[in-house]
Amino acid sequence: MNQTQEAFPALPVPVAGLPTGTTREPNASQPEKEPRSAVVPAAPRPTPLTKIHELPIPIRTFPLPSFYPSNPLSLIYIVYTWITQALTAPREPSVVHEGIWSAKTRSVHVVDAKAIRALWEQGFYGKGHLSRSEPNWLKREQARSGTQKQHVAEEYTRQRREERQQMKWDRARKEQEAIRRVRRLESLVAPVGPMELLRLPNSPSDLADLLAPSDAVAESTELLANGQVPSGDVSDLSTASKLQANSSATSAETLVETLLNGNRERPGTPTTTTTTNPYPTPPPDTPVESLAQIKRRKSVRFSPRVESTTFMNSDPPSPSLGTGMNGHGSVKSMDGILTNGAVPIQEPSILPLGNVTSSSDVLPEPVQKSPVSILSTTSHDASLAVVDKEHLQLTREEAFFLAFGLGVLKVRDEKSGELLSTQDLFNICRGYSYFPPRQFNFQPDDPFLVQYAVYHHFRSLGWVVRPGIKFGCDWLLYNRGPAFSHAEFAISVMPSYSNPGWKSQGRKAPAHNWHWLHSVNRVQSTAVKTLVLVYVDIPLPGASDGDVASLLKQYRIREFLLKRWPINRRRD
Amino acid sequence: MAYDDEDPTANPPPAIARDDPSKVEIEDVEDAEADEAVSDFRKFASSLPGGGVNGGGALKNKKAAPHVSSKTVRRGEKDFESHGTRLQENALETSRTAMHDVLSYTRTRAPDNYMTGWYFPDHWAQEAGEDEKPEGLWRRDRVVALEAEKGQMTKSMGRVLRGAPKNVPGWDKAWLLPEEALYLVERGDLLLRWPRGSIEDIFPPPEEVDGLKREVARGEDGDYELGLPLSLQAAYSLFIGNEGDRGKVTLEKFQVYSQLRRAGYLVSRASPLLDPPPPSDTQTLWQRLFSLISSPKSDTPKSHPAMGPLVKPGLYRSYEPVYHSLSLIPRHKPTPNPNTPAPEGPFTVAYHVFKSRPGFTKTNLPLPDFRIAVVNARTTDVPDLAEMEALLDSTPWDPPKVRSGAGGPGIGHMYQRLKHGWRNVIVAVNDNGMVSYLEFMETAFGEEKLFERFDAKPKQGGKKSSGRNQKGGRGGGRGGRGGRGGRR
Repeated sequence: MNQTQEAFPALPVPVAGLPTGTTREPNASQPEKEPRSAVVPAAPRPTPLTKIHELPIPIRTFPLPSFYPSNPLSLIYIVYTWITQALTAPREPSVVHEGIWSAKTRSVHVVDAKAIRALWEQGFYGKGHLSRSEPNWLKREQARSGTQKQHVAEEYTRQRREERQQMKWDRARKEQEAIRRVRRLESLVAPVGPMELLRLPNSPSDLADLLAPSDAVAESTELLANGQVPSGDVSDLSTASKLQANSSATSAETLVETLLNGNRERPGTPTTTTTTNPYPTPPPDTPVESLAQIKRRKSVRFSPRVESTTFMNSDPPSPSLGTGMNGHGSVKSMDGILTNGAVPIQEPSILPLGNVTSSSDVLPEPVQKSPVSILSTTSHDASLAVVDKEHLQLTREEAFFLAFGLGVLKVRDEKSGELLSTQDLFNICRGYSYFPPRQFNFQPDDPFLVQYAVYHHFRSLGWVVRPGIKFGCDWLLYNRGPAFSHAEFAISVMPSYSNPGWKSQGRKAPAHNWHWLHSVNRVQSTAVKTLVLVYVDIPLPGASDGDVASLLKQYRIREFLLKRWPINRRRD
Repeated sequence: MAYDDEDPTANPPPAIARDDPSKVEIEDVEDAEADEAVSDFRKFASSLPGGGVNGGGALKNKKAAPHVSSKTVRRGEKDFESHGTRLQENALETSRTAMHDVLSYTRTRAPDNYMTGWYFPDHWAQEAGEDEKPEGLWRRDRVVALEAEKGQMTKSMGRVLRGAPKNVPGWDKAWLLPEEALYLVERGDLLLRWPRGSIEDIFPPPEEVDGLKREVARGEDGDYELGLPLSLQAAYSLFIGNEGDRGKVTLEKFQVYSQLRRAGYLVSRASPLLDPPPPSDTQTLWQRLFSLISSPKSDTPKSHPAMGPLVKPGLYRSYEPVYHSLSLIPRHKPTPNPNTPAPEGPFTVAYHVFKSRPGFTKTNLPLPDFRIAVVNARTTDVPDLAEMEALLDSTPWDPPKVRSGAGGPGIGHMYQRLKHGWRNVIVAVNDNGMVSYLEFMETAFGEEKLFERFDAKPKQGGKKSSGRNQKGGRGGGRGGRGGRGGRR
């Protein structure tokens, strides 16, 4: 419910070959996908964000046209506008949306598609229950099935992450290459250091151990056999590995694991596992069994292509890498088939690992029977097939602000279906801020009331306020909204009982220790936001409890900004 | 090598392109970069006289030059794992040797390079009596008298108490506060002595000074007749005390003091003399008359519908009245003259901090650049509203300098004003010697009405609002920062 995300702003012109539905790596094979982009209908020019989010709140204003003294006609235009507006009398808010109070989720659901769009576009209220933030599940589904080429923010985020990942991989690879180069250069120098001398073989048996791995190298290079590793390089590697020969076993294992698990989070291992093998030999002191094991597992890596490690929901649950695990023979044959290159893959989005699967004779032909593929091949009609299942969730603060502040929301009770009055909604919101929910015994320091005071305060100043649980704070403040810019401020609400009446009762705000403050502040500074401690001074319980407006007027709000003061940077 | 002020991000983000130059963010980024780096002992060792990495063991045999102690360890780069190259091993080995050399460096002091101070814990307390005027010199806390002022350090430390009567012994000597004395002892700049007799023996009253007598008193090992030299441990036990002890300083405050000094700041105990007089509310006659005519537009309208909606249905020409009717909770308006009681307890400004600058004299202190309160991280919590208000209201009025008004060129100016705040103070949170400095700013979001920009929009953007669209792309530019998952 509280997730927040900033939509990637619309690009002015969509890039033609942009992968939309598929989740391939950028370096994955492209050619199979090309014909698909022709089938997909070209996206219309996206509406500019300023147009979509034209209204800061769901209330439209009707400013009179400005008067130009140089142009007397403008006066007539003003009068004309004034008269038409007076006659038609636009009454804002023109639409009152409807929501349903859901006790189970402790939030207000909006199911009407128009209301969902309106509430999101005009002030960024709520969150799609199937989305991270903007309710665009339907759009994502359509983009995923390939029926419509659309801009989905999540797609851009994912793509950007992949690019970043790729960048990290490349950087790590370059570092590894540099290290390897240094190592090779050092291997050409005769061993003189004490550690190197100690590593030299002492007896013929040691020498035999040392020589054994070189056979393995030969074997593995045969396995590769596709001419991807230049032979000179291999010989260099084998000599180098004789000298330094540590850590190759572990790195080989991590490489295998990386490939099997699809875990791309290890920057220490190079991406080009398939083309060149940095550690072809196990260390000489490894026992023979483990040697064999390593050899067997290692064979998995010798695929001539980099496989996609991102999996779609429609992917088969377990990619049949198992065939590759079984032994050298199958791997060899697999490689042989693959390097011929003529594997017909029709549906890259469904089979990211399709080359492995389709090449084995056990599986049927890669013409897929899954409904998604049928839908995507029969183009446009698919959008009709996907029903919008998403609704908008409003937090209690958002819902109450829309109902009490702006008057653009009416809330129905889930069970009875009756409209709730503002007072009822207020009581429900207050009661449900406790667990278990309360029916009575409301206090001026109800968690809802304290949070709502802050929410209302910043909304009434024009900020777009969104829940900030993802950043360890209570609220995030956006200028204009998450689609336009990042949040600049992060709000942490601190209830305060400074009224003498509270002191005599012994009421105190829960103490926060410095470690809490530092951890919150650290998170904000990594996200380039500024932490604001918002103290809410809570009034004593009084007679005006029933009146929402006069109750809220008694709260006092103070903001204190927080920044680290780096001692070495403020000296000038 | 992990440092306490290390940032959790492995890769600090590159400078962020914005439509307005927000200095603060870029500074933060640089800060993260600076924090990242690690001490490089090789560079430090090579900076030592006769040192250098190759010099190796010869280093410690060399005679120490006096300026060595003023050098600090610079920071270098770090490797995360061993990758088994000889290059790396060599680098590590040289670094180790350099660090060893640095640590085993013998520090010596020539007699003419340090000062001598005498410990008189009760001298000024007796002289000044109980009724010390709040003169801001902390006279009762000054416990160490310097025989002679020497060196750079005394430019900002110790005070000759000019107001004292001339018949008081030691009236013409510079007297140190406990933290100053301890810091000098720690640096090796001060030899502290415990007097055997009274102060008249060491600093005879003016009429008895004939030079001859003092010469006699300082015989061969004459200083031992007058008093014993004190060790660093003794100095600690003499000067470190609890909060409120006269002539002592708490350990937290001393640690902050010495850290600030070592970082290159000039520090003095907070004294009320240094606070500028609060700006007076001088209104011209015209302003006053004008305010009578146009009754100040109150932020909160008089009546609100009790059960909402606050925005009454109807025709609105602009967003201003809409937001005006939404305004319900009173907004804070910073004032230059608040009537807050003076702060008590730990959340009190303890030190005034000055950036090092030419022409700095301790007798004529400029306005402090920073005000620092020192708290113990384990015994105090995040201040509550009363403590925060009292602490910040005790600092001078410092409103944002950036031009205000909604018509600013970008939102960045508004951010800058909000981030600058109206008052500020630094709280040094000391967790057993690890000090974290946090700057608190009193800010007022109510002073910056964001909604005023909503009405201005159609005028600027025109019908096409194409100019606005370019701005929309800013989010994308910032989102593309490499290396981190950053902001979302």
